[in-house]
Amino acid sequence: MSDKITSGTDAGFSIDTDSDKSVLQELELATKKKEAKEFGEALGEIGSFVRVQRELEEKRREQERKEIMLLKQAAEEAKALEVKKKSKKRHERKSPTNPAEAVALDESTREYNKKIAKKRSFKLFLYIVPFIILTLCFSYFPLHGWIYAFFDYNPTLGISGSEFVGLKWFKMLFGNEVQMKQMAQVLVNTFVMSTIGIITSILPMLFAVFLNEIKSEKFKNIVQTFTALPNFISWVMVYSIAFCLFSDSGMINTLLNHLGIITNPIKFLDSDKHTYLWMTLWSIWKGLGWGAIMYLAAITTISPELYEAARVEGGSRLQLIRYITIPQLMPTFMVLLMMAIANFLNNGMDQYYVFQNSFNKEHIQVLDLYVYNIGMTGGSLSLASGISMLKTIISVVLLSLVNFVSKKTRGESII
Amino acid sequence: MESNNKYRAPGSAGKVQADKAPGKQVTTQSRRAPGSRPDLSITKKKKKTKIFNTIFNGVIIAVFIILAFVCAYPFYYMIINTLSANDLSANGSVNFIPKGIHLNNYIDVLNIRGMGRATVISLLRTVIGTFCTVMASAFLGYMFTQKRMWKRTFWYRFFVITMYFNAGLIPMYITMKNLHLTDNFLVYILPAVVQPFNIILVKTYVESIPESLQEAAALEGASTIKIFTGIILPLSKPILATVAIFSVVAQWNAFQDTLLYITDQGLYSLQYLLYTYINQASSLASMVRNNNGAIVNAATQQTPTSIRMTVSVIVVLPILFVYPIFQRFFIKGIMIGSVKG
Repeated sequence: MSDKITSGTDAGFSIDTDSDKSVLQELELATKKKEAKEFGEALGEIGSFVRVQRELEEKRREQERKEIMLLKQAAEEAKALEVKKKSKKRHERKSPTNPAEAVALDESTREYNKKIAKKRSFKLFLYIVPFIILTLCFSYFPLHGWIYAFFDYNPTLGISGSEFVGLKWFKMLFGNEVQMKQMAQVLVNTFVMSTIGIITSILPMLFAVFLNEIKSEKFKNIVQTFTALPNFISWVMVYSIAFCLFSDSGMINTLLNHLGIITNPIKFLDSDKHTYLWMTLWSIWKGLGWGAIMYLAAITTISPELYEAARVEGGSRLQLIRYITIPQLMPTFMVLLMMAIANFLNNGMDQYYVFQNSFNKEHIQVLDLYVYNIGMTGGSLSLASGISMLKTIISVVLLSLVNFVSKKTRGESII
Repeated sequence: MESNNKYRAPGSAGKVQADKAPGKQVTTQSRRAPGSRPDLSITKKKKKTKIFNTIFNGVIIAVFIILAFVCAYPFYYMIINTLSANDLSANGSVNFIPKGIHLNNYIDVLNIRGMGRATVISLLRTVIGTFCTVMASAFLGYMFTQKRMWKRTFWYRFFVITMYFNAGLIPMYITMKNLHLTDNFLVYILPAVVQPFNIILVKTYVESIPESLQEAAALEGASTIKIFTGIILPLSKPILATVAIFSVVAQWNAFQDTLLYITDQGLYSLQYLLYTYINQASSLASMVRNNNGAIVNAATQQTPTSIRMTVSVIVVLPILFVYPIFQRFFIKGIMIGSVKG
């Protein structure tokens, strides 16, 4: 019997680590319950003694509480823990030989601690409530707008005044010949742009790999600074620059005119020729240097020993690139690639919105821009909501698919 | 090494050299450890490598110079053209060096109605928005390192998952309308406060700060808020700087929210105004011309192009100033971000 108790009390105060504690507590709890029952019966006969003991116990409990609170706070701070534990143990050794006391004390403190911990954890939660409300408002609440896809939504009447039309808009999307043709063109645009985007996503990696081959740090820095710059201006600015350089009276046309190469200005912006190519070039111009920074950061983490070993073996520079740098960058590339695939339908609309005009509308309209054009300009809010909804669902499916593939092939998820 | 090589194998190809030497010897020698006497085929190879290296270096340096030029020149071109005499600039004769420098373009453009107000709006949204985002990201990032928080993992996921879906343009617009945020300055601030990606960045960073610091402060009786302001904020400055930069650039460049939610001209942001100016530069130019009255001077007279370029330069200048100062933070931030992937 006494064996059990000492082991129990010991366990109660050996709060070395959290995991240790929890395991021991579980064990303890089981034994304690049993013991409590037995001792309760035994002690029933000596009630008066118990009453006196209880008073003592009360006092001791107060002391215990204080100590345990302190101990808990300092749980992982080694030094403090060391000191506290010693004092605790000393105290424990002096503590009552009466088993009932020890048991009751243990349980009450634990309960008390639990209560405090719960209160504290809830208080911590209360701090983030305002942010939860914000997220609810701007990320979750808008999802209710999907129901507009099933109504003939009229903004002036509100949802209660609008007529429920079921799947009318979705049927229209795929039933109507004209609509279908337009939709097909939009989808083709989206697919082409995204595919080109994914193919050209290898360029930042190559950029970083070759920039890394240059010895001069100064040159590297200057190149990095200049090429990353366009990433920090908006698409409106990019369009403005494009206008300055490529419009009828822009720099290129004026220059070519002066040189006598052309007499009529070349229409770079107001034409439907090579729309895909131009859009790709602009996104490369804007994103190349910035995209490379991530790879450059990844290159700095490659162990120099790898290169040294390869050089000793007589590897040439190209071989070093081919067999060390690129394979080492592959994980980064794969993560970005998968993100790009998950975002296949989300080209964003800023770029296409600023560059669109009546000439290139057919080939520049990607899904995001199409939603804007029919929703905000065309006024078919319901149809636009429907397309948004389909787009989001497909994107989420793509994301989970890509995540699944990533888990299978690389052993880690990208989310 | 170089002269040695020439002396041994004057002008003959590496392959011939290898053939001449007895086969066995070549193989043993080529397998020798570096530092021992180099055999002929290796020195030959080294010479070849050297030539290759020179060409290789030359090519990549040239390519990078071209790329840097292509990225930086448009900015330079616009700046020098806004400073130059407008008739020369319209001629296309200002390409590398500014000619006939004057500042009238800037004075005229800043006097266009709406310009000053839009600048103030853009500045306000950038400052307030960035402050809110940084503080919220820092606080949430710190709170999510507190293991005791009630249902911590659930709430963390609750925030992070919003990165991967959005309701779409129209539902968002209707929501903003229902919340009475259209034509309201708050529409620039509130939706941007909670940024899951920033929260991840800060959380990862805070986790790298030794926990004993927080424990010690708690032992001294510091509250959660006190620990946040006294320990976490000062210690996570580098990552907060990164978050701030991202936010500044995003806020300053934002254009879609004005396009969608704002119809009140008094709340237009500079970017949106720039967009409208680009499209109506001709009428603006004539307006400015009329304002200037009888004084006709070809060098300072506004043309549509000069208006466009001047507005663009005004919009891009703050970014050009901020960018080099904070460039060093980007890499750090990106590296922390890439840890998560």
